[in-house]
Amino acid sequence: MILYGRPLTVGSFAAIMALEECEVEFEVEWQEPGAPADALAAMHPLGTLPFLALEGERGIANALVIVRYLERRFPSAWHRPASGKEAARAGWVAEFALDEIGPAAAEFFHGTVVAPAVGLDVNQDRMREAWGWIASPQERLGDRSRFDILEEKATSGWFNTSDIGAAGIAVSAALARPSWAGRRAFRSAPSCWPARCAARP
Amino acid sequence: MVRKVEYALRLKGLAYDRDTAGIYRWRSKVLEHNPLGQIPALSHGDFSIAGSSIICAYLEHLEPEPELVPSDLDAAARNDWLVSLADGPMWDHVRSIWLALIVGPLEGRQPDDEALEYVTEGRTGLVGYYDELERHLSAPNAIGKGPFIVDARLRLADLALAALITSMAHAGEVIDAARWPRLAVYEQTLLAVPVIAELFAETTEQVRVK
Repeated sequence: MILYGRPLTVGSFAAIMALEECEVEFEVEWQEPGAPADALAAMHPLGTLPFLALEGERGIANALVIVRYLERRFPSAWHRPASGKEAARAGWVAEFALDEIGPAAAEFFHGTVVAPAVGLDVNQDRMREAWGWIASPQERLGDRSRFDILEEKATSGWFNTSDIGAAGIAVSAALARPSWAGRRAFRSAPSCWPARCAARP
Repeated sequence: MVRKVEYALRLKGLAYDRDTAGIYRWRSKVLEHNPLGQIPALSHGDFSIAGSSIICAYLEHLEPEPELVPSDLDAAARNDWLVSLADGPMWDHVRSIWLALIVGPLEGRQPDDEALEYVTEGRTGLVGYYDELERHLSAPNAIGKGPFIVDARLRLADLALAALITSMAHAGEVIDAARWPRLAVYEQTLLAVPVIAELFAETTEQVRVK
């Protein structure tokens, strides 16, 4: 299998984590912004990333769709929800992590780690905004931050924090960025998540 | 995407009450379980969950028939991909058109230049996605298996796309059959599905400017 991905993005990282968990052989073809590679464009004209190319010039786009595909194809690769309620809650957490936390986390990581490393100017207002999106309490969220919500979901059993699962892959992909940027939100062992989710800078 | 959930509930024969007037009252009641205040949200006994695709996955566990997510691996992935397109970027464009041409007039505002600009942007934004749908409807593994977009049975992807296509139809927008011939046929196929036609008729009454 070949994964077409974009460097440093949460979705591509989640797909890689899922592939690693399945212990399958795969290659990664990193794509820079702009026109997709010819091989990718032939299979996937929309060119969205990540995209997992399978046998027979077919493939799957979208990080969560890839994770769900791998979960069906390798059912023993990770923890699977035992009931419809558990599946719904874990599914909600996965979407929340990738859609609500992921983009801001990636932006924060880019501004605090990548940009300084390659000599790019950093827009500090955008960094504060990105971190605030994740970590600052907001009235419309019931005076909670998104980290608070994730912490609540982790401690109330909305996803399995003692064994990796699809939701855990999404959460760790989203939280790895602030962690690498020095925000203590994630360590490799999933069992450490709950107490780390609400970590503040 | 409320309609997608209603299609699934009706197809599976699950009785439900619709609470639209009390959204904000209800929202505050279940904020603990629905912290983003997402609509649609489902309350079933002491269980609550939000997000149209998450709700539909829950309904699939609750009542497996008719099977809305295929058991075949490739078909399931194709279904999931098309649902993600419909729920995400396609809905963003359709919503622009819906707000300008349906919600605005309902609230007494005729579309002004700014609103019409949103409509144009929405139409333009949908072009690439219509191409993608036409490609799926033309794919070798789709030929002979139709009339739906994943396989021969009505799937969640069809319901997600039906929610968009009916929104567009209410706004007077139809698929250009000269440019997307298979998609235009598919549009009519969906609009003829009884549960989709039924809800379309109900919504037609709701969106009629008095």
